[in-house]
Amino acid sequence: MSVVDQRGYYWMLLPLLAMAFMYFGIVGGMVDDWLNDENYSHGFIIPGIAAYFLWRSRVELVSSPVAPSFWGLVLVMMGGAMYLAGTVVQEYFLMRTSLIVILAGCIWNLFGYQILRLAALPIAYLIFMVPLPYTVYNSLAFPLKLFVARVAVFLLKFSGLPVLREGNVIIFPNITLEVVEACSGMRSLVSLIAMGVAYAFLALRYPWQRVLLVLSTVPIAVGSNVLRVYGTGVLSRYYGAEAAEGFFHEFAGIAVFLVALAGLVVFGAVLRFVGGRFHAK
Amino acid sequence: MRNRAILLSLLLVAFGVLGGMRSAVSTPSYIPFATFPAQLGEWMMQRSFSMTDGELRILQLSDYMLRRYASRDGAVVDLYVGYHGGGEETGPVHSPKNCLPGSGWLEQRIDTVSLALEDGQNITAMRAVYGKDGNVVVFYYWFDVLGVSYVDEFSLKFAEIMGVLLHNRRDALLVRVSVPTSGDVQVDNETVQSFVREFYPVLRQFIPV
Repeated sequence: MSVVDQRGYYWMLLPLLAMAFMYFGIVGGMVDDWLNDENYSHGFIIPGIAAYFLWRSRVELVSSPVAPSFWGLVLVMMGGAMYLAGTVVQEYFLMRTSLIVILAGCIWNLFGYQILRLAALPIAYLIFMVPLPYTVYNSLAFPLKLFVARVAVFLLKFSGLPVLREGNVIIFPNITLEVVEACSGMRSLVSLIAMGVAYAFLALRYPWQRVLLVLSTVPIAVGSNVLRVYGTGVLSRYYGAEAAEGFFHEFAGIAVFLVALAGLVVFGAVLRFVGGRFHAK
Repeated sequence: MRNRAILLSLLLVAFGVLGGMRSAVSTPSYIPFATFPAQLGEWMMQRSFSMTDGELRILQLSDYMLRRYASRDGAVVDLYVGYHGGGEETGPVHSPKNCLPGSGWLEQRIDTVSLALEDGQNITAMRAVYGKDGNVVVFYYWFDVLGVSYVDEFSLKFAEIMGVLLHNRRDALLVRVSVPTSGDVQVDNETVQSFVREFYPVLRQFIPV
């Protein structure tokens, strides 16, 4: 028996509705975070990428035998415990991640372990849509941002531009950059890691390649941010303050993220080439 | 298949109903800092500062004060109190551990001290010496959740979780008292302690435990 010849599969809508009832408010709050927190604006595309992962393995999914298992209920209970604990202490991260556990439990319960294994990547990938707690995020990303500022200012001075740095705040003769971000960590880091994981699973075959590609997102994020600060510094020197503000600031943010993505793709291609050579032997 | 789906749905709905019974955390009523006394014992307020809209948007505070107090014998302290009421509209407490280096202060030394209040209570505070532009300043700061002081960010997080669990409150304060260093640790401690002794009991009246 497989998914397609399963009769009464429309009963599956019922648990989906029940999950919608459980998570309506929680997901709504998360979407609000995606809208308002620039560190997490990539949240919108994560479910899309997860869906694409699922669609990619559609042939295997429909041909896999359905073997419902009550073990799935154990996972659902664990997710439910996370959900309730998260609600009681009003801890968003716990409430939101419980969705992923419950989803996995439902699939295990209704379709069995084999289908859960096939859907494991798309389900686990959803973790990237959940914003990390502020304390955790900053303890990771803040030191990187200070490092970016330090390197960029070194390069600017090396190029003979007059510049001062105070922590994350970079002061040019005609403009000061990033004042209000003084206490926040490096943006785009989590977005880039999420993209790196997606790319690693789409384009690379071997685990070592995937690990290297995901690890490479950190230096790539650092490098592209250095480039951004350096570029803004140079431009504001020649074109004045508007080079660092308004439209151009937004544009530079997107452009630099694209440069980082390009770096990721290039490194991925190198890994493929090296991997092909290495495993051919 | 049908029975499984129904059983699973009932379980999920039960979680949803149980979770839905949880009311929002209560945000306690407090007295706005605008009415905080300009005189605290021997200490008189000299100036009050405002933050920019951009800074306030990032910090998502319920209330704050940024003031300079001077004592009769000439000592000066800078006070920052940020209050996060814990509702949806307030953000997390920002630790000086990030914000100070982020705005260009270089850490020189960091340790914890105990500030004794008059009623015998002690406040554990972080004592962090930072330098910037040739100025060396000692920052004494602590996070305050329901009247208990914490110095590290993860304990603060844990205290907030316990606060919600036991009292249905997530409000937290960041208190930061800074003095230009005199070079003598003992003198700095005494200055800050004498200020905190006057200031803290009043703060407690404004933000009830």
